[in-house]
Amino acid sequence: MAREYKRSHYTLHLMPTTQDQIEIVQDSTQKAMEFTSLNFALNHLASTGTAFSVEHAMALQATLTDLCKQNNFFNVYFWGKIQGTENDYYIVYGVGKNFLKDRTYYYSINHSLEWVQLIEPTPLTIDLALASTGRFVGNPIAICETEISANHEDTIDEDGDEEEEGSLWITFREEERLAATVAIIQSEAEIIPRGFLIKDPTGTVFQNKAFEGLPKEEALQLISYFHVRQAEIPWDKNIVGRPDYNITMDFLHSIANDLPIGCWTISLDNIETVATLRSLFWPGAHGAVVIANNRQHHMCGWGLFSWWYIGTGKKNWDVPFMITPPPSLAKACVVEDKPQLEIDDRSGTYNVPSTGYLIPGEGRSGSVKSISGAFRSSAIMKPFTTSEDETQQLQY
Amino acid sequence: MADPADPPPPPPPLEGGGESKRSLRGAMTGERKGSIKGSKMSQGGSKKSLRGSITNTKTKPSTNAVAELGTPAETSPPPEYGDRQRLSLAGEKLDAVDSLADHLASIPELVAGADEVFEAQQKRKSLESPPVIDFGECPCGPNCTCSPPPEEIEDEEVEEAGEVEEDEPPAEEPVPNYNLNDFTRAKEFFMTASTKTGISLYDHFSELIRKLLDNRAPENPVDFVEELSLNLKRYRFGMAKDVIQDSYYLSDFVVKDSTTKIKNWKKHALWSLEQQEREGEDSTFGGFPNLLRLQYYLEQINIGLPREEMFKVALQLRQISMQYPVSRVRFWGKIFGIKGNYYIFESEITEGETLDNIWSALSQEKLPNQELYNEEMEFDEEEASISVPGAAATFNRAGGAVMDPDIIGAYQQSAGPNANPRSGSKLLAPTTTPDTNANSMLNPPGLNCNEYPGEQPMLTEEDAKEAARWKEYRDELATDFPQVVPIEVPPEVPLEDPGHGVNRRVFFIWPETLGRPVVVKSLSDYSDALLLEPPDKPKDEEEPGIAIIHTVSPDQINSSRQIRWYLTGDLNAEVRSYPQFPGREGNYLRALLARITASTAVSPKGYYKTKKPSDEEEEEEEEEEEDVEEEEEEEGSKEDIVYPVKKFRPENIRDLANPQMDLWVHHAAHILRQGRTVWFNVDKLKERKKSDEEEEEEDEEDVEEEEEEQPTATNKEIGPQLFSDLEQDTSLDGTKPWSARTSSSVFTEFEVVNARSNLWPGANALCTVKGKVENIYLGDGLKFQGHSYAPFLPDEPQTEYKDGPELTEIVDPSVQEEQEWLAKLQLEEIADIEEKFVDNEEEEEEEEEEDEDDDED
Repeated sequence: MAREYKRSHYTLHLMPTTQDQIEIVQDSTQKAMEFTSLNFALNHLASTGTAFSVEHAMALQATLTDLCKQNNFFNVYFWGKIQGTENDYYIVYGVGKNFLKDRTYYYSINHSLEWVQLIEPTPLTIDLALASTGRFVGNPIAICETEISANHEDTIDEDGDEEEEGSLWITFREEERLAATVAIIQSEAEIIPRGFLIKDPTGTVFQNKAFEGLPKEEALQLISYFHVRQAEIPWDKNIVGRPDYNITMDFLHSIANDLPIGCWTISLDNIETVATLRSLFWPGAHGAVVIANNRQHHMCGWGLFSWWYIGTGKKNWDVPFMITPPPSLAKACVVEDKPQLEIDDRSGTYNVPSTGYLIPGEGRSGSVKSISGAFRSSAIMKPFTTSEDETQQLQY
Repeated sequence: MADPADPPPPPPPLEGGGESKRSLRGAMTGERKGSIKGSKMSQGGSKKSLRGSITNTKTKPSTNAVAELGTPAETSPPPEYGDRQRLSLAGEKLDAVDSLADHLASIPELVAGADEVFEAQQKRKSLESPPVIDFGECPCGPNCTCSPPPEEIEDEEVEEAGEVEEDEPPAEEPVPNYNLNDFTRAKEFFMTASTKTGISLYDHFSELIRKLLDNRAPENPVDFVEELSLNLKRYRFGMAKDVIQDSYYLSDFVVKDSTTKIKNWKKHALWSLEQQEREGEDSTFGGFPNLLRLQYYLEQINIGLPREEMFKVALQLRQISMQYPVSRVRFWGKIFGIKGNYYIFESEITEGETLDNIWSALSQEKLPNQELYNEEMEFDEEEASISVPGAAATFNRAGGAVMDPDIIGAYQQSAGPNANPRSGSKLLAPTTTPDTNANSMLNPPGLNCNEYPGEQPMLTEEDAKEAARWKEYRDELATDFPQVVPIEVPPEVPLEDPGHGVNRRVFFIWPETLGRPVVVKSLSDYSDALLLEPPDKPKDEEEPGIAIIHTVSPDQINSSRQIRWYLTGDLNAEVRSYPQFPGREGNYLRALLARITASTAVSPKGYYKTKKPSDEEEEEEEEEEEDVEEEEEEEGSKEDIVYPVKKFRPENIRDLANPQMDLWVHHAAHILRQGRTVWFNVDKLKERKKSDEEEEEEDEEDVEEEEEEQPTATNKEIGPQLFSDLEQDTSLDGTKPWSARTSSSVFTEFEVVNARSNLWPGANALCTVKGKVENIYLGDGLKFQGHSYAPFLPDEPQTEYKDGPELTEIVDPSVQEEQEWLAKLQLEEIADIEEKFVDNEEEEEEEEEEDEDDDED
């Protein structure tokens, strides 16, 4: 199911609608090539462990300018890098009038000197790319093999030698896999802060020049960040519950709905000027946004937000098994007539005495609400509780 | 007009600025003079149309307009002060207003904006052109409905008016009263303050336009008016309105970070007193590398940390090398966690030093997280063994030499600070089992953990009492419950001694907490989020101290191989995984460090050698070589103590970039499947255990030991030798384990070659033309995995009990039916049925008796 809607919103993304035709022509001065995203990214890349050497940064800047001019884009953004075993794919996209729809992706395998337009993914390649196990090689015409089980069952071969009946090896080119992977990452992990994009009444989505970064309180909340994809949930869900909603800004849906809770992390840098978001599903996907300062919120010449992906192009499917959800979100129910939960402030979990079993709990209110599906089961505690007497009996 | 002293002359028709200026002034003073047709005002949003409205028609000559206004053209002095002067002052702003005007066509806020501009200008030039505004006396006439504007404006303007009145009394010509009410009503409407926010439209528009004019940003402001307006409201809402609004709030983390930096810097800066005191002493135990040079090389290969961060790390590195008796400290890397990150420093114990010395150096400073342990221990002192998982086992296995701060902290808390850690092991869990023949199922957990060779159980009187009590309890259990077949637990592989194998390196872990704890909110919780109290103030803790987790057990290494877990940044956090990891996040991190080091510490072939380089003659070298060989024989050539060759130069830097990677070698020992670098014969342990149980005589034991020394060839694990090629590394899921990159496509003369691990994304090694070799890890601590994890399926359900006729539910007979049945029984064979019933009971009883007999047997 999840995969299907991925596919659908991607096709939505690609399909031009009639709204494109009636878009107002924007002022040509917007074509001024700022590459704010790139410059800002270069400033803040290093805090995530990656950097650009002077040579590569210069090459990127120069070729992007060229790309922008040749293709008549409003702006060209650095998208990221997918590391292959032989070569790295550099990926950029040019943006036309509409930030969401008029996107063209390019990739380069020679350190961003020459750019090749990325083909469009199909639903099949998207599925195959998600199922691929190996890493990218760095050769667009290399053959990727993916094993597809006919029964849609993940069987684990203990012997490993026997070929299963019904399993199927499907091959496709790495270029197709790259295109599909970029599309998936764009739809799952690419984010913008609230207010970075605005949608005018004609449906055109463009960058908000009046965006000044996020205030610190907002920057630390997932509700302030949106997926860069067509909204999958009904549009009014985004603004329900938000007292200060604004349709021009809240037309995308927020990453706060992503499951499991805690699959995004936000961290501030040490001087609290930049908030960095990380996707745990796609290690290497980072977004950095400047913290708006109320007193001096005009940092001219600065990019205020950038997003990039520098990683292996492999999705980390194991996230649900790798994190403990934050206690303020994961709902647990209180044991009947035994309020024996101990709050552990350090780890943010609840400790049930005499069992050592950690229960994520509602932090503040203490009311019994179960919202999260993952921790909905009310019987979660009962099998694990052991009375004090039993514990002592075991010892003596 | 309003300014009798400075009347505008009839301007040339093309000077729009002057014209508009004057007409604006007309608008400004219109309330008094009543010279403007307010109804037309509302039609004209743009400057031009405003002008047109004032002059009735746009095409009319301005002289006519002035005349028609019926104001100051007649009363004003001659035009010494030309419009050009004003134009130069106000022109810019007025032009900007012009550009805005198109957008604001439908709403007459321009009045407010122009008003604002004019006011500002008037204040500046109050001497030349004092405004004549008198709101106090409303000139509208008896039917006037206009109300005085908000107080602020009124005050200012009244003051100004007062000044004007002193100098030059306002004109007293009778003012035509037409259309005044419309304008005043419009302005009144604009100036009506909102009952919710207290802000009027007039103020808002003024502020908006002023903001646009002041900032001259963004480009094409008309496209972003809504945004700007919203932002304005937002910031107005958030701005503090009290006396402390001038104070600037800095969060505690920011302050703490900067104070830490300053402190470290002062400690090491040449001019500081501390440093001067130390001057002359060789304060560092060993050398430390130049991290800023490392930073430069890292940038060449597209990885790295921010320079400021690297400097911070360099300070810490220097601090470590000064403070602790360790040698060959280097910056190992940085591991990114969810809430915080870890900086890792790798070092080795200096010869002649022991871990105890490091520990004492560390504890003199501050026991890391001591406070936390204090709290825990106060809570449940008796359960110290529970709160530190595996503490007793670790103590016993390592012979009390474990320096894990967790365990030390727990132990010291319960036994007093001066207690001997070794003797403390008995505090953590009972150490004796009275009867070695006891059923292993009946042993309480953690009891039989000191059965390793060399460990003698410490028997005291208390222990004996406990043993007796335990035996009673066991006998009691044995009589009550059926016997269970004992499960044979495979003996645990002992951990390697500190200073050897996986525990040879000492890792200093420096946690970095990023900002305050993040409050993550979901959509449905947003309404709560607004009511949140300010984020919890961080506890008044010291800066995060350096932690050492000294030892890692084979069990932990093997468990960490089976799980994937995101590090959180808290060393005491729980690792919630299946199979369960024995320890906390700190232990998991230590296991990761051992594994990553073992698999990604690589260098060009020939850079490291196992003997120490010396400038002496060859003879001594030969002797050393012999020594080394002897050592290798003793230790099975598994110890990975390597020394860099002096003046290493790669022969051809291009060869290093060969994708076959045959010129790069591992210089760290491989960790076997067992979890150790040196294979340990578990069978030996089993047999010794057996021999202890059977209490054989010493002679026989000796014979056995001789036999044990020949390990069975089937079980022995052999890993790759030290300095094996990367070419021989195994690949995972068809992925090449290593990739080579070169830094530059142009300047091959200064090239840096980079070996990048594909199995541990983030692990890098580099070699420069001049033979500088570095290893660094900057990553998430996750190994590459092609296939994703799938949770284990639950066991198959047991077969259900077969329903027979004896379980069939039937309708309860009524009293009448029973009586009928009894009567029938009396008539027929009563005895048979009753006997049958009784027989059943007897059989059951017999069976129970038999069971009991079995138990007793």
